[in-house]
Amino acid sequence: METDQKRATERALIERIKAGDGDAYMELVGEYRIRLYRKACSIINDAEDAEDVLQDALLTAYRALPRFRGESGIYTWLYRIVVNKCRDYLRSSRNTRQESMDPTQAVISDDRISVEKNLELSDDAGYLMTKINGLDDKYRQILVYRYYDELSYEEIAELIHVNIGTVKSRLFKARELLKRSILRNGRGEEYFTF
Amino acid sequence: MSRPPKYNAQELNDLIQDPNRELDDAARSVLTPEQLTEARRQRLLDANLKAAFIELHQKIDQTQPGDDFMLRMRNLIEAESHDRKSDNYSGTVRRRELLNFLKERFLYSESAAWRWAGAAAMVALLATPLVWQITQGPSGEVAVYDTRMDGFAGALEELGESERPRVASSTPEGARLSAPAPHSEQAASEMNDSMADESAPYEGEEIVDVAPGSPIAPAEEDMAADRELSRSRNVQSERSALNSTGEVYNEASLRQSVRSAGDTEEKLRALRLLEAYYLSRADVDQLERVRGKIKRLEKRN
Repeated sequence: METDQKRATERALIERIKAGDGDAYMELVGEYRIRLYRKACSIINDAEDAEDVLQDALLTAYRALPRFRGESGIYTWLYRIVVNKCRDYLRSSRNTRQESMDPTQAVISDDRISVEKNLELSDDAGYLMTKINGLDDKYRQILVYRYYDELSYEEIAELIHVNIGTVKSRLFKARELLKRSILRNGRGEEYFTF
Repeated sequence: MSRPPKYNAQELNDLIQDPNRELDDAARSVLTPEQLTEARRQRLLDANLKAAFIELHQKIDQTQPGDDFMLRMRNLIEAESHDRKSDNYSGTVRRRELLNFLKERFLYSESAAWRWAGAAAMVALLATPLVWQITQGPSGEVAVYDTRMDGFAGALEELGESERPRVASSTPEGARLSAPAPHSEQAASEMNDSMADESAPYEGEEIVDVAPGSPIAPAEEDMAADRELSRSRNVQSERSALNSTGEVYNEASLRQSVRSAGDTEEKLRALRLLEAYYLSRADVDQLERVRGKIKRLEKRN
């Protein structure tokens, strides 16, 4: 019900944007800006560049909005644009720098969360990030969608083109794998004590 | 124990797998001890994960762009809305998007063949408005491009930018300037913008039709007028060149130069050009931002 209401509000905003109301666009993206910036930051791993890429992405989205058909939620649509822009950015910076770069230092081109290395997280949070990054892509990514990107089950289902039941069971499996990874060698029980 | 009818096998499974679902008394009564332990463990791990990510979010949020970001976005959107009113906006946007697509998909390709194919397609796409201009006159869609660059060269000078673009002497009318050694993507972007203004008349310049073979017998005052006109045209030509500088150094290509700069020196140089650009547009927000970046880089250097 809440989702339906939200979608209806978004649709109304989109109609206003299509009619040329720039303020409506600012209202629309204002709500998602923080989450989108976090996403850009996690991929690019540089706050200033992430800000630039986010600005480009939001401008691109504004230009493309008249062709938005509303088949997915607006957030997942913006999210895709931001992720694609970040990947393009990484690809272009890798290409322009490849001659001078040490090949072992190649920029990570997926959306693995690498930003935590620069942020000095607490031992617990850092440990969990390391364990998540150690999972297979399929499971790592769904944990990232759910916990880092704070996407709802519906939004994840839209992004990876599966139904909500599959999202739940895949998340369950991902947590299960994470749990096993944490409990390996008889350690990490404190994460599961009551 | 009889199972309450509201929990079928699927719902039981959902109870264990979905930490968002509350484990109420009815749920507890239908789960086996092992299932209950598993469900609790899932919920604890879920809570621990959320806490870990909240910490990560808080750290990242310390670098969140502030209100100035939204202000810049608002300005960009307003400028874009203004452009939308142009009759040819749709075509221009589509062409720009197609160019970006080609650039991103092909120019960065590992394969040289794809890169060449992408470059060829971009040139073809860029040539279309030029041909249109030649065949249809100066009222084509290029009019929507931003030409507010009058102060750019002056700003460069003010900032002491030593590497001023050179005037191409072989094109006295256009006096188009050459950009310093662009890489392929930048060149494409610059080509786009320089072509965009190919037919735009220069401010204040008059086009005088003179019939071929007309007798030229200038009187003294006419010669003085000619000298004045010539001097005025030289000044105009210089102004045009400065305008052209702006077209070559558009914001997108300048920002791209900053991003693709290989080392600190190169990045600093690109940032100074960007600073000149914003100075010429009196864009205080962006100017402050770029200057902040320059300061940080210089300090780091």
